[in-house]
Amino acid sequence: MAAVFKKLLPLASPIHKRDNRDSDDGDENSNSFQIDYSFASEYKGPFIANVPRANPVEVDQIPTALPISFSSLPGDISYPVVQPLARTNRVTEKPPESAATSSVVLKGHHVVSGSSSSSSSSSKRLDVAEEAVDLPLSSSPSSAEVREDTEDDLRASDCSNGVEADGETVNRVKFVVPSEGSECDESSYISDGESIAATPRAERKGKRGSCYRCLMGNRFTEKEVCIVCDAKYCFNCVRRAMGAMPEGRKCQSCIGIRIDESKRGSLGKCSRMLKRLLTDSELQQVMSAEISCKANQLPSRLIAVNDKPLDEEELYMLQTCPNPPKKLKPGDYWYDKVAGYWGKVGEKPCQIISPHMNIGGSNIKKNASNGDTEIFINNREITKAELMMLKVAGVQCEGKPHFWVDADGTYQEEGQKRFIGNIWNKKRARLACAVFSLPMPPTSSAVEPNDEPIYTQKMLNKLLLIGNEKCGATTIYKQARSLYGVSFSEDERERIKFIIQTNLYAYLAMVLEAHERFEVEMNNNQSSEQTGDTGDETSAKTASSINPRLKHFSDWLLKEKEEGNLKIFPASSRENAQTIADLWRVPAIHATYKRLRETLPRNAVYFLERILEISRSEYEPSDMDILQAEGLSSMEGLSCVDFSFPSTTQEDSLESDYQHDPNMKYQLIRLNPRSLGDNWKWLEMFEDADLVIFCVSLTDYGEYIEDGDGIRVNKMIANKQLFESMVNHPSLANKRFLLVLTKFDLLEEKIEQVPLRTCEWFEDFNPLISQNHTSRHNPPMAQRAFHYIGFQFKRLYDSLVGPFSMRGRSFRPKLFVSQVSLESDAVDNALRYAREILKWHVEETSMFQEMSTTSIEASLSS
Amino acid sequence: MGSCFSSRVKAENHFHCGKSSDLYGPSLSSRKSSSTVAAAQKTEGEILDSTPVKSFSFNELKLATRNFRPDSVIGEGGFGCVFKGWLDETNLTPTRPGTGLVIAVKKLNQEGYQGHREWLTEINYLGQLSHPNLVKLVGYCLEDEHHLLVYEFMQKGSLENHLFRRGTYFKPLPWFLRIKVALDAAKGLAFLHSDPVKVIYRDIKASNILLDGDYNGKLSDFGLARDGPMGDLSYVSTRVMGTYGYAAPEYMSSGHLNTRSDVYSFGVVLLEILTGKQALDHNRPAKEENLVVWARPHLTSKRKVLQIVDTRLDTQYLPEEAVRLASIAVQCLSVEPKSRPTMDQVVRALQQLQDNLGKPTQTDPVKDTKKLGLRNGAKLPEKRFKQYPFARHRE
Repeated sequence: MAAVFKKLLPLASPIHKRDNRDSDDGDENSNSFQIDYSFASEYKGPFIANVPRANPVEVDQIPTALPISFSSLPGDISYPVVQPLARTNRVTEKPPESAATSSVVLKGHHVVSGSSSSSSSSSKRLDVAEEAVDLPLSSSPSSAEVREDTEDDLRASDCSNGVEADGETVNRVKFVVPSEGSECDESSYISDGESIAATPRAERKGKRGSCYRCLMGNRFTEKEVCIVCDAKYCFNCVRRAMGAMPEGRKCQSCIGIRIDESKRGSLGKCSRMLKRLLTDSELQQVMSAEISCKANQLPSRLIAVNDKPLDEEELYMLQTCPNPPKKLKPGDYWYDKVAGYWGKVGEKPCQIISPHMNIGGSNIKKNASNGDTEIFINNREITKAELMMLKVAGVQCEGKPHFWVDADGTYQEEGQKRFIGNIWNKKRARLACAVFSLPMPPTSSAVEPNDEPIYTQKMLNKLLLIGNEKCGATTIYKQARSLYGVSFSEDERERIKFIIQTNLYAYLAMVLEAHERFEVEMNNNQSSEQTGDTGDETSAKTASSINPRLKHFSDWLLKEKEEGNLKIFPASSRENAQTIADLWRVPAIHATYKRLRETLPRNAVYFLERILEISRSEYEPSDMDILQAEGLSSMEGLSCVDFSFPSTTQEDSLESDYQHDPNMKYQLIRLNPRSLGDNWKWLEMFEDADLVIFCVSLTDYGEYIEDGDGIRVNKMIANKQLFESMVNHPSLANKRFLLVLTKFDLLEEKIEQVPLRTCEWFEDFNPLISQNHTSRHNPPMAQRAFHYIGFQFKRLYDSLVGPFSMRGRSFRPKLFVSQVSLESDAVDNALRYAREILKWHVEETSMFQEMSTTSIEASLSS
Repeated sequence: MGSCFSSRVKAENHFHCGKSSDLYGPSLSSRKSSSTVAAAQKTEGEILDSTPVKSFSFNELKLATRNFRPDSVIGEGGFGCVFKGWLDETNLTPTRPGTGLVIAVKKLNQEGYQGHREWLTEINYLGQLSHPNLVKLVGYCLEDEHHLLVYEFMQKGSLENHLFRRGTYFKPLPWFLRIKVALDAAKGLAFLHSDPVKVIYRDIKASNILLDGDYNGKLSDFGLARDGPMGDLSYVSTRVMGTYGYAAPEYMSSGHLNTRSDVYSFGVVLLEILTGKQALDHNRPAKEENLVVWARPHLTSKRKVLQIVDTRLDTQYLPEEAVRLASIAVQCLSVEPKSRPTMDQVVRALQQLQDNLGKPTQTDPVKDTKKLGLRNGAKLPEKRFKQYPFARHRE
């Protein structure tokens, strides 16, 4: 490999050199030219989505510095001077690429950017960062700022190790040239919030005012703007470009990237066009997602308080405190923790926020607000305006006192015990504040804690319900609805009623079918037993015979069922109800039903018992009816319900650490296998789900279905296959799985009749039955079967999922198993279990951090 | 910092050359002449005559403090109130507020002999002693019933208020300042104990250590100070005075006063500085009320020491620094007065600590701890602790 490159290099370098001459004539000492060997070795890292690519230089696009006429500039500023490049042979001048994929266009700045020409697309020794750092650009700290702004704050050294290969990270080299040369320290660029927000910029390919996607339209066509890259899309393209907008108005490629800070103000405010495009509920959802989703929140590290960037928790604390700073933007702030004064670094206070928050740096700097009065409040030199205010408020300021001021406005001289007074006691003080545009302490009405924080820390957890047909998932879904008081709407009830009635007809058809069969049998009996008792015969005949109208109906019903498109029309239900009532009253039919009752499915019995009531058009399904009804999942492709857990008394007694946030919302989504397309391809819509609840009916081991190829498959095996495909599904990678084994009550009955070993997967089920027949030593067979099945699934799961590593430690995800029967308690328990799993997940991740810090402490103290 | 440096030089010189009384300036030499007469035996007139500070008229002080305005009160206590006032720097006449020398005027309550005696003691000592780490007495006033004392104003108030007055959210004195203040106070005390002066301060506590604008610590309130034992006596017997929680056990039980009692009290202050807890706080659980009783078992190992360090300090200190400070404190707090170090030794140890702030020690910390003999701080054999951290003493 190296040899090949050695051969190539002498060839390549002269061209390289000539290139430089072309673009940058003179200044280059060809004697100092040295060949830099850089060897590309085979890349073994993870898959890279966007390989950085060097695009050809377009000479006329190179930004060049124009000579400055010094007379036109005020004399007291320092000029950022770009010094001649010393090692031009390594660096090609080139504008940064803006292939709409990854890199950034830097507008309006004079830019010299390290190119990645040496790094071929396969080579992983990218020297971009190093070169950029090597540039002898900055004569003074203010002249140029080299920022390596990748997602994880990768250092340049990391880059050379090929770390930047991990997918999304984008190398941006950014030079921030401050508009004024007055402030030379770092804070000047941080305080300028807009410049730091290095977000990708989309480049318009078409003419001005056209849509970024279809390149049609002009500046008068209505467009919606991506809040990240500023791309504008027309009515037809918005949906395609932005998709389902899980984070609000963002191009799909921009999802997960933080927004353009200049657009923060427009969060949640969409154009009229979008209002037309989306339905109200959709729009509401998109806009609330835009406001509350994590990626759109202020990046905490861009906000520095008392010289220390905040972390997420601190920012959250800041935003949810009773008096949060208004219109928080990235930048440097000072915060007087004792009195609650809050302001931008170098400026007078702009607000009095809640005091005593432990955020940012611990100590406020003396010159935080750049005061020059020699009078200090809580170790901060105050500004003239503040001094004036204090004087108006009657505070003795002679002799440059240093004050300690408390949040309520009481003040004392530093280090003294005695409170001298309260600043806010005098009305004049507030007046003075208004005059000097200083903040006033929040009035009592505003002190009320803000219950609704803007950014809710993942307040909605999505639970996906997955399972084969008749796995009981829909029952769980329905039960959740009734459990957590999310009743069905009028509309839905109407539809459910229709489904129940349709089902009822189908059940009736089953009875009628059986009745016909009996009739045939009976006739056969008659023919064979001619000598039988005539009295019996006639009675049997009368019992089984029905009048022609009913006969016609039942024939129609059977025919429809046979054809498989049993459908009734709500309009006809009134007259049908009468017919059914009559039919049901026919003794023969009723007798058949009684004979049949044992073999009919339970739901059928449940509904047939109340056939007269249900068949009526006035019938209103009760909650129990809904629970019992079959086939509700087919009524819509996707049923979802939002709910939250009511807190139980038992829970209230727990320590607060173990309590759940009562505001936490859960969304239970029932996925219908049929509606997700072949191979579950639509599953990726749910990649933001938090937990997958996989439902398996415990009774499936004795049932068979025909799969696509017409082969009879044990339903449990089908479940197993589905489970495998779910666990391996890329969209559900790294998701937690909760296996819910349903229909436990049915299993209890079934296990007595059909042994578990019927299913080949459970062949080695070999429960030990002890002689001692007490319930403790000999749990019921169903219980053992449940444990065994759960165990089998766990083993399967372990074989499918490899250990994952987090923070240098490897972990093996667990499959959680829960059982459910028709009782509502069981479902409640299962869902609460799901909630615990989610909480563990959160805690687990936070635990690592703690562990790492404690280990440091331990090593310190030892 | 400058003043701190100079005082250190002074201290070093003193330690190496033995007696160098001229370093303490004219005030000391004047003191020396009268030192043969114990303060208690001196008459009021003798004291007031011999003191070099100015005697103010009540009217002058009234003017300086704007007629003792209530809003110029900066502190109050059992003795009375302290007012803030202004004097002209050169001729010490009352002047416009905000200009000239800022003073603190202590106005004693107009009551009996007790207050008067303390007032007199204060003038007796502070008037004649001058040291960067002692509060400067500007003058006094005795007119009719009025007993007033005029001090230089200490801008940052008392160490006590900085350590304990504010809530936990407030970051109190940073670590390096704590060390500095401790060192300053130790220097002041070492000066008092030093040979020509020989004064027992008797009332060392955080509230008597005042801070000026640059956080220089200074001792104030000499109302309880006494001349040290003279001649062959190793102690003076006296009525037990002072502040509970700070007073040395042998002094409490016997009334025998020694410079080592001050060392004990200073150890308590060090402990307060280290833990951010007050020596005596009845708001704490019964077992923790007395800081020394509570902390003593924690001072035996490095790990335990780190458990009691003021949590508000976060990461400002290196563990070994906290341990070092604790080791100095634990030796000061020895039950046996003889095993307590002298203030000179304490100054040197604190100076070393301050000089090495932020620099991790090269020595093995475990070995270090052993050397310090931290396991049994109370009954430390004298030889042992002389090795370290007071090793330089032998040089």
